[in-house]
Amino acid sequence: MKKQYVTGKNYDLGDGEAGRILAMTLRNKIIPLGNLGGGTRLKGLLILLFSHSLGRIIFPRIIPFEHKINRLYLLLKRKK
Amino acid sequence: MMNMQQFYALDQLIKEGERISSHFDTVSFDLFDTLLIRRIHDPDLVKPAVARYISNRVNSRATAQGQGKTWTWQQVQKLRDTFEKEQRQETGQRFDDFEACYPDYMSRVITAVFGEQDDDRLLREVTDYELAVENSVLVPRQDLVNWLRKLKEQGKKILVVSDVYLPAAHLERLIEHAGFLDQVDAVVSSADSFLAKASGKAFPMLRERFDLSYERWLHVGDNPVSDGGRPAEQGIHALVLRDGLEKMRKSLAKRYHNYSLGLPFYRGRCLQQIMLPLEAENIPRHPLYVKGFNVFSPLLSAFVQGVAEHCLNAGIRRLYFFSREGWLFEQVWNRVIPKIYAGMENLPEISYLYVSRMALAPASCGHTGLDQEHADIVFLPPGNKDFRDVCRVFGLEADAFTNILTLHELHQETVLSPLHEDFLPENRLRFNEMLEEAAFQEEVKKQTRPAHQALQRYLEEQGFFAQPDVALVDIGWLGTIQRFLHRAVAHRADAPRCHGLLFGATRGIPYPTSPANSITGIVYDRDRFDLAASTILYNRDLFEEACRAPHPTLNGYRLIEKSTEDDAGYELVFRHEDDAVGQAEKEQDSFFAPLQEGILAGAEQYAAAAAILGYSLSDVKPWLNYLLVSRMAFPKTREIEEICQRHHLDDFHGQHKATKAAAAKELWRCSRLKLRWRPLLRTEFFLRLIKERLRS
Repeated sequence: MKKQYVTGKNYDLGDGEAGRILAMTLRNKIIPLGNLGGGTRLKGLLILLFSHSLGRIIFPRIIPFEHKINRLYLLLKRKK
Repeated sequence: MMNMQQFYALDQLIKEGERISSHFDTVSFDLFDTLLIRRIHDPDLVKPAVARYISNRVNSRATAQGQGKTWTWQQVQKLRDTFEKEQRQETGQRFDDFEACYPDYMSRVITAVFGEQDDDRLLREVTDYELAVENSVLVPRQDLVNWLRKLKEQGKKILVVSDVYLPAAHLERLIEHAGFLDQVDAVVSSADSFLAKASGKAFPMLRERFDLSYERWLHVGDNPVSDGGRPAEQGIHALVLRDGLEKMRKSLAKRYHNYSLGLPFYRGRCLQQIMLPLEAENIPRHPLYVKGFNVFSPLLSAFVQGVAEHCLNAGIRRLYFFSREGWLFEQVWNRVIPKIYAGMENLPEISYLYVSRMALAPASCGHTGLDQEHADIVFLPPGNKDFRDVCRVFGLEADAFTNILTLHELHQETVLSPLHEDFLPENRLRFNEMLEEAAFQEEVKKQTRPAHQALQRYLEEQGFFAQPDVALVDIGWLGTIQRFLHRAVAHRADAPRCHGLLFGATRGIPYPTSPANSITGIVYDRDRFDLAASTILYNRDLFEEACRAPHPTLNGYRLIEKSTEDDAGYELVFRHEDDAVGQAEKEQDSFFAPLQEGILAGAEQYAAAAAILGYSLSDVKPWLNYLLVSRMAFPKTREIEEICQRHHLDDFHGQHKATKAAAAKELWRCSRLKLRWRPLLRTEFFLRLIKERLRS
């Protein structure tokens, strides 16, 4: 059997758990799967999925602009 | 600022560092987030764990002394924050930096909480705990430590400099645990001098103390101000690492943590994010190791946490893990519970008890004989068919019953199980009538008395009768082992109340619950409707095999003569391993060895993460439910192929083949073709499970 990593390269559980959680969340909308503690909140889950899958490409590219992005983020947050 | 260079990836920094290193004879490194990274996104998450430890210590002492006053961990935490803040304000008046020193303000906390008693010892113990928690979340950044080693080999002076509340002596312990203290010439902390890198005052102090030259000094860190601008102002060459991938990892950990505050589902996921191995810990592993770490370890660790919670709530001070699954439970307990309940003194004493249905069934009849309720249990598995199976299970010599059987128009081969051909209900009635006969019961007692007596001796030696309440921990499912055990001891005046705590209580037959004898399912109990957790039923054997000890099953308790005072007077008889079944079992054990290795490695990390987050079983239960549903009811085809057990031994089940038992359709036994190409197969099985759960 091919060896695997406990921590995936995208810092997810080895098997790509975020995608699996999304599949379960969608499945749970069709058939009741039981007590999943109130569910996952789709928006948050999609952000997680995005961070896990594209974070490796995005984070190293935006880190030089971290302070500017942070200021923009705080500005947008205040406007909300 | 000419002397400061920023890097957004570690390999670029090391490459540049190696290129210019010949110009320098001193290299100083920042410690946290540079040489050591944290599994958690916020270093302050360690503090509540220490507050819980102090609270547990003081409350245990108060309970033992009969005092009413208790401290919650939140009160302790508030006190620590107040004293730390006060010290920072005070140092801020004398120095440029608002620094604090851990032993100073923590000793104030200890005096306030414990009163004036053994302050030094308590401070030492609290510090030990805090550093142990820190160690559990700190991971050396492998590439940077390797470069540090190279620099040391080149004869450079290596300093580790940190702005933190822990003094240098404590930092040395963290570095020692990380494995590179021998490569470091000195460790310097702002907590000792109150001169920090943040204000830049630390650098002149270091120059004076170690007689350094700014021009020949290279500093490496992660903070653009403290590790970049400030040293550069002094003329020190600074390399600042702003690692994009590390930022990503922390951002994910923070997001999971923030989500877990509002959505219970994410608590278990957040816990598992902290558990993840990093850097050199994360090496390619056997797929079963990965399954053990990511799936089974949270399930089993949370289970033993639930067992501990139950014992603490019920005041149970003695706990026995039943063989053979208890072998792994005990190891998980030893890794998890002392860390989660650090400082708590009323945890139960634990030990491993050699039991099995085959060993306890005869011993349970030695005093009370064999009643219908227990004889019926024999005919639950379809492999058992007739009186010979009854004798095999209860350790009876069948030939001794020939006359009694004849009297009731029965013989040894008369079919007594409705699952087999030629079954006649009147034969079962005759069998039940025979069970009522005094002569039959006398013969049963005569034959099983030695096993019964041997069991009493074994249990006495294990201290079983010394406590009024005992917790009995087993994987599941019907509680048959505990049923037999309790029956074997119930006649004794000193028999303890037995609290069975099972991983899953499927309750296929009603359990004879009483105040003296009960079972509770911790992860799944059929008495509580829990659809997600009921997916355990998809493959119970898998859990049994995953947890099983690598020693043969117990076949019985043999009574032997007590020749000396030290003699136990009994012997444990184990099953031989030289037959085909024994060999198959050995093969299964070695197949699952990486799985168990992963479970135990994961349990260590679970303990650290749960101690930091302060989660109980109920906090992580939604995540456990998700793990069960996703891995048991909706597994990937590859997962079934990888993990499905090869052999499963059960001596209790006979070798006969039932004709009337409908072959149970199981997802885990479906062909690869079906699993791969029938998209609604898993949904069909899940709908079937819903139907069954609603009916039962």
